[in-house]
Amino acid sequence: MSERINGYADAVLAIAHAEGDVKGISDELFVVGRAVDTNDDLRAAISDARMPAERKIQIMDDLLDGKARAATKGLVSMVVGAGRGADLGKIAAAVAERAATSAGKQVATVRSAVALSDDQTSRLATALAAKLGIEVDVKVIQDSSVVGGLITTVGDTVIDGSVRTRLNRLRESL
Amino acid sequence: MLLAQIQVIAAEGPNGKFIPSDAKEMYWAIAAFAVIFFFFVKKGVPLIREALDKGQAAAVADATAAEAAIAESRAKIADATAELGDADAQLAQIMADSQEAAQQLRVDSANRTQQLVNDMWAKAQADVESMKTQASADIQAEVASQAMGAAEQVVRASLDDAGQSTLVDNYIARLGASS
Repeated sequence: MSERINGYADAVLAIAHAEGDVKGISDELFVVGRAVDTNDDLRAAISDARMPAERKIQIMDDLLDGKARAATKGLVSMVVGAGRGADLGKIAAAVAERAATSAGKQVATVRSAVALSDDQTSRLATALAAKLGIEVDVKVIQDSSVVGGLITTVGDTVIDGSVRTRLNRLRESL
Repeated sequence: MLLAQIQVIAAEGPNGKFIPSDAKEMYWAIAAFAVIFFFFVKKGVPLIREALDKGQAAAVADATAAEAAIAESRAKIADATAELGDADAQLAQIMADSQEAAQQLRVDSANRTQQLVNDMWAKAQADVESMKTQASADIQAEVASQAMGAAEQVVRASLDDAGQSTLVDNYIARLGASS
């Protein structure tokens, strides 16, 4: 991870600490970062050097209007206004990792075809902690290519229980 | 007797023949003849004999030379015959070598052609096998792709919210059970 990404992550985390809502802001930033990483048009728009910064900020404000905290929107505007919109996903991931580490946890990235309920997320965090012996901060990424089930990544460990993987195994056996 | 007859004839006088009628002339003639004969025998005969000897020696030399020439010619003929024989032998050897080389060339050419045919056949068989394998793999991949596409569509269609939730719950349950 580059020094620039680390610097932005540290700055965002400091502001989140100052706001007193590290987990909430970190979670929302993670979702916004994933949206930027998976949407080529959005990423191209907010990283277009010819587009004025005000216009890019306006795009993100419209996108997050009524869906994110004011602090989150402000942090996103700061990053996009600085011309680092394309790095938003990496910055959000670094923030999540730092936030989890500061809380004595490790980030567990969970890919799912559907959104998980709070109960499912909580039970998943408990099961992962029991299996891995560490507290985890679950970050859910909605990914339709998973088809069904979950793929959990914690550090270098991958626990794959997706329908996609089962279909791939079936394809290989064929 | 002969002398007496000559004397009688001479006494008869001139008779129109070559015998002189005067006996003295005849005596002188005989004496002259004797002298001439003597000198002839004394000087002429050796000269003639010498000439004859020389002629004979020359003839012998000539004959010897001729025989030598004949011998030399025969030797040359023998040499030429031998050389001709050698030439014939060499020609026969060349012919034999040529035939052997031609035969070897035919054999080599046939072997090369056979090897080429064998190689081409082996390559053709390998290509056919490769194409068969590739075609089989392509068909399998296509069948698998089609089947997987269909399977995925069926799975997606059958997975409603409840099904998705069940899958997540099952995942969490397996995770908890394995800890």
